[in-house]
Amino acid sequence: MAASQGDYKDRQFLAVIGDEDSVTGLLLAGIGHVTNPPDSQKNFLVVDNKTETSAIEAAFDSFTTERKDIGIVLINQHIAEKIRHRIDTYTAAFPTILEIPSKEHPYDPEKDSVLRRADMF
Amino acid sequence: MDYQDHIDGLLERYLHLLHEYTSLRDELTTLQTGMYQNIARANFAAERGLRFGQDHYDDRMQASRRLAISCEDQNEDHSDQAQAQNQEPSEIQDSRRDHHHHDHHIPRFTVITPACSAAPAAEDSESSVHIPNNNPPHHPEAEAKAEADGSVEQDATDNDAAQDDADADDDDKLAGNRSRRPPKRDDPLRWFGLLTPAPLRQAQTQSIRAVEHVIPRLASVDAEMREVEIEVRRARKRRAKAEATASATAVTVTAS
Repeated sequence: MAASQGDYKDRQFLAVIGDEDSVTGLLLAGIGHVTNPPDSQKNFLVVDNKTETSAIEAAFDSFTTERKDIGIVLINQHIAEKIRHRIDTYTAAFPTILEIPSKEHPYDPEKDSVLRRADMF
Repeated sequence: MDYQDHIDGLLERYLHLLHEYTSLRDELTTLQTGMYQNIARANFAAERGLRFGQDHYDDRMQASRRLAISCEDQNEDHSDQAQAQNQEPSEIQDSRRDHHHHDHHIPRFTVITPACSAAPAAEDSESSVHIPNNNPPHHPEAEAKAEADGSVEQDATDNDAAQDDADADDDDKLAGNRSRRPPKRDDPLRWFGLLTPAPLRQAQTQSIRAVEHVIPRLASVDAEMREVEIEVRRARKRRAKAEATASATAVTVTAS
């Protein structure tokens, strides 16, 4: 967890991967951000039944690896289940991954990566 | 025995952090449940075909709440504890000092509104007066209440009147200030129209509470838990090494 200042000083956004209501609710708090054109990168991904797992993985990679301005990635727990292998093998200090409940899938402590880590510990 | 005490102290701290984590999780679940219910109520009461969702997002949205990460040195937190444990063998103290020297910086997450941090840096009185008036996310609860009372339109009229006066004062000066001001309509509620339903405003209030207070704290606690886990593993290794050395010494003494 050694973290130099360069690792975190520019990380000023929260990113969200979630269903429409989760993203809408969190964007209402003012965390949504679209970078300037021509990139126009969003810091959120709305996932529905048609969204493929590869798209979720791509967004996860973008938020965690490619972009250096994200400090926390919020992801619905049921979506995190789809890319569980990626989340469990993610060990970087920044950004931090937090699993959050969604409307149709209440929070399950047994699936929470932090609590599972604590359980193993 | 001293090694064991050190490990026990770390485990105790870990349990406190775990308790805080689960409490924050409960709070987040409660807030999010309320938020989802309010969004559902807003959608239910909306006109036919209208849904408060991604179709209304502003493609040029700019974050009005941003993250600020600072790293605090763990030495500061436990300086008292270190002083109280002066009787420890020098071996433990040395290893601990060495460990702190390396990488004991725990990230601390906070969510700030850029206007808040910019306000003290405002150069003239005009901008410092206008920024709070034109930045709705600063007091979302008060605003939601005011809107529920139907007084928001009056406030908006007052703000516009005050702004008109400022416009009349000095156009050139204002043109310079405009670039420094936060956008007039940076409240995400505006994406959904001027007269947004009360449940949506309540959902916003709950979401702001989650984003400002619960989520950053959860992230900080998670980071601290990771740090303690690493410390415990290191302490266990040191204990095992010390035990191995002690048993080897005992064998040598017995043989001689």
